[in-house]
Amino acid sequence: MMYRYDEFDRAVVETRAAQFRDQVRRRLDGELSEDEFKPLRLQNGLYLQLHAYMLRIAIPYGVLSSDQLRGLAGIARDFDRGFGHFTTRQNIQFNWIKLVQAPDIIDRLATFGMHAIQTSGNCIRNVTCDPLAGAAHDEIEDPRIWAEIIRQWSTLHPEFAFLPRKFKIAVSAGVEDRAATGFHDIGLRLVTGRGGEIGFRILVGGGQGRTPRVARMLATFIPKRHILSYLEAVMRVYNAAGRRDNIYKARIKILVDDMGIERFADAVNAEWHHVRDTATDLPQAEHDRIAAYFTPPHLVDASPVPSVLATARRHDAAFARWMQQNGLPHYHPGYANAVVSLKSAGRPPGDASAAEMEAIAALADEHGQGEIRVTYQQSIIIPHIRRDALPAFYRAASAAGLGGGEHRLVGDIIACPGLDYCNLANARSLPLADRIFRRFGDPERRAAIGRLQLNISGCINACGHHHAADIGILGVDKKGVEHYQITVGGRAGEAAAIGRIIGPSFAEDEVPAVIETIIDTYLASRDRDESFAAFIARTGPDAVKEAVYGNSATGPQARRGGQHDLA
Amino acid sequence: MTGVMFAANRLDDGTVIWLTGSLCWSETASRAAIFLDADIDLARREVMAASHRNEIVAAYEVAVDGRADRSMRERIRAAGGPTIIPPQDGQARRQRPSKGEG
Amino acid sequence: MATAQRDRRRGAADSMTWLELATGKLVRRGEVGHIASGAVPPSALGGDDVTDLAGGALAIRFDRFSDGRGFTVARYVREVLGFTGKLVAQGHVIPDQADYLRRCGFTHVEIDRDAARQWRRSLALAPPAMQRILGSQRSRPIGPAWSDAPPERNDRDVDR
Repeated sequence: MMYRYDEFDRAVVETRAAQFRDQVRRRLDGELSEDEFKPLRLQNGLYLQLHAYMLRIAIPYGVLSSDQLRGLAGIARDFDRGFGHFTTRQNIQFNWIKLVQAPDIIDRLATFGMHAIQTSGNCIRNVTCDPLAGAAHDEIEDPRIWAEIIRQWSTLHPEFAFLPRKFKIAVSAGVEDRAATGFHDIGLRLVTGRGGEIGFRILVGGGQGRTPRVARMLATFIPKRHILSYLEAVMRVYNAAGRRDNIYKARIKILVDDMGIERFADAVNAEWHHVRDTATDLPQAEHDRIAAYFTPPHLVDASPVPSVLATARRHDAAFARWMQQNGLPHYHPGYANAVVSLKSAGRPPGDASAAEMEAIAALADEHGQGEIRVTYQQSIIIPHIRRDALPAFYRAASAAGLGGGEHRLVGDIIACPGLDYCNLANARSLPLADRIFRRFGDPERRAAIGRLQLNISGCINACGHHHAADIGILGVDKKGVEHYQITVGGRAGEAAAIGRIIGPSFAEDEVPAVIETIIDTYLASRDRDESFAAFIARTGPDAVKEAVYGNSATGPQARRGGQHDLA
Repeated sequence: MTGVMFAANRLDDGTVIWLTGSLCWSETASRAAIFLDADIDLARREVMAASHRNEIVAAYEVAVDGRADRSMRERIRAAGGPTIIPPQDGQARRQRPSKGEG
Repeated sequence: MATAQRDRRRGAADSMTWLELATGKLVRRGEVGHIASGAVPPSALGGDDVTDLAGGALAIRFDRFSDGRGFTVARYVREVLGFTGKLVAQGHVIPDQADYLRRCGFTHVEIDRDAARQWRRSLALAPPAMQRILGSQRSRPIGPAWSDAPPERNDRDVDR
């Protein structure tokens, strides 16, 4: 079902908490300078933002028990302002933390098997995974086993605590890549090799930020038993050769650019030669110990009652719409995985109050298997729900105010915290997300548009993943005024692609109309059921560029009286 | 006339603070002084000293041309919170002044 | 300025000493046969630099504590070049790195003796190691195996 800490894991987290408490004391006493303390506090997830310290708590590969989610609700209430934010790396953030209280929070987290280790800093970050792992209809094997193995290997790894820059790993095992492996420093996909053996296909050097890259193929097949030594070889090449003179050129994607993928692969293989089949590689017994935690849940095998679903769909159009988008396929035909969308009018994408967290935990206990998944799209999935229980689930979710929002339609916006919270931002993202969400408030219209990923980043660091969006919005600073640049054609799955800028930036007021123009152009010109993504792939950005910037009488350029600046 | 304003976070609780005219640190943005000419160096020295006293972190200075000219970032910081309303947990919330559009 | 930085600036010969990472004991600084920079790629280290030392000490210099290349050099020196002598971390390292240094194969760290207490405390507070660098029959062990320290706690597969 999910990994549970044993005595050893608890000892690690508890001693780490004591270590952090001591570090905080030494900082407050002045024994540690800020320069010395900063990497230490970052590696415990404590990040200084615009208004206060922010604590980013690790949710390993996005999996939580209902007890853990209730524990997080308690932290939101007792130490913060009653809400938290689920992030694009499947973690949770609290925005109003006091340094003096951080050791108490870390101690409390340890009591329910959680921590904030390595959620920030120049180290290996939270390993992310397909949120449907272990519940998906199309996976070759449960990738969480490997996410957990890699998590343990990367936690407090003595050689890789002071890397040139952060390092992000994602693991996927489905036919559909729901972990965006193409945009990670290392993307791992479980694949079947020639002899039927399962192993890893390894991608390297993907990422967003100011130099977005789709990851390149590093190794087509690495046997499972060698994954840790292989990863260690990659990390070692990066640690030794990654740039340390310029933080904007310090990620592994730049090293791969500079060396070329062939030379990089050779360097990795040379290192791998030294470390393969040493103690780093996982003994089978250890693999089996971890894998045993991920046995499938006991599912009732009785056939679902089809009339329950059919009746509900017929009588409740809202349920039918919700089911269409949020009832995701499961490996068992009688079951589904339900999305609880954290996107609604007036809600910053990914934010949930403590009461809502408790409601989600209750939904998981009542209708699921007590397990919750955090998605990188900043929402929640509750796996393993009987299909004929979906109407009851929907009613309960709706009663808690969590029945709105459809997975992957235009309202399912990914947005970074932006200038409302973040020191790095050029522009706000949250007010714009809300305006766009409300602009497309008609559910039938959203359904007619179909699948459309719209992402907003408040700055070039691209924490809102705008590069990987069907429509991406990037906040820029134009002479002190918030402006927004639009991209189209990004994709996060198998055929990962980076969106292309369509033209000069817009003031915030203009953006919702621009988005509308883009979508109207698509609706007017699409072939039958062609998705927005397929439409852009077919026509390129030209049709939408023309509609937005061209001679159209309704274009924003016309409204501005022909003045347009080249931002 | 162009002056310099100084802001930082309090080390122990992260609260945003501004350097006042009497070289004290205040949580109230309106008490932030705009330092001119020779006073700028005095202010800088206090910033260094406050860092060494382990009272502040992440200090920075902002060039200010008259009180009206504050960037959106500084205005949001001065307001003390986001310009949107985060999820409410049903408890009494501190009211925040509304800022701009949203 | 923090204690550690003051210590480094003082740097008078008689205030610098070696802390033995396995035990926390202070020992007199010994002869160092070769100093490798953390910044030099490990593969540039010839076997000669290392094998000539025959029981002497090798030092690896950290230019800055946040530059973690010295850890990779240390493991390379131990695991690839097969160095078995004393391995000393020099330069800008902070007490919170004590356990990482030890687990990467350093036996000693050069510090100001006034900082010894914090280095010992850091060693005592170190969490158990998650990595399987030690404990397998198939590898050449590093870290505490090079000294008298008690065995690592990450011997789960022995218990199960």
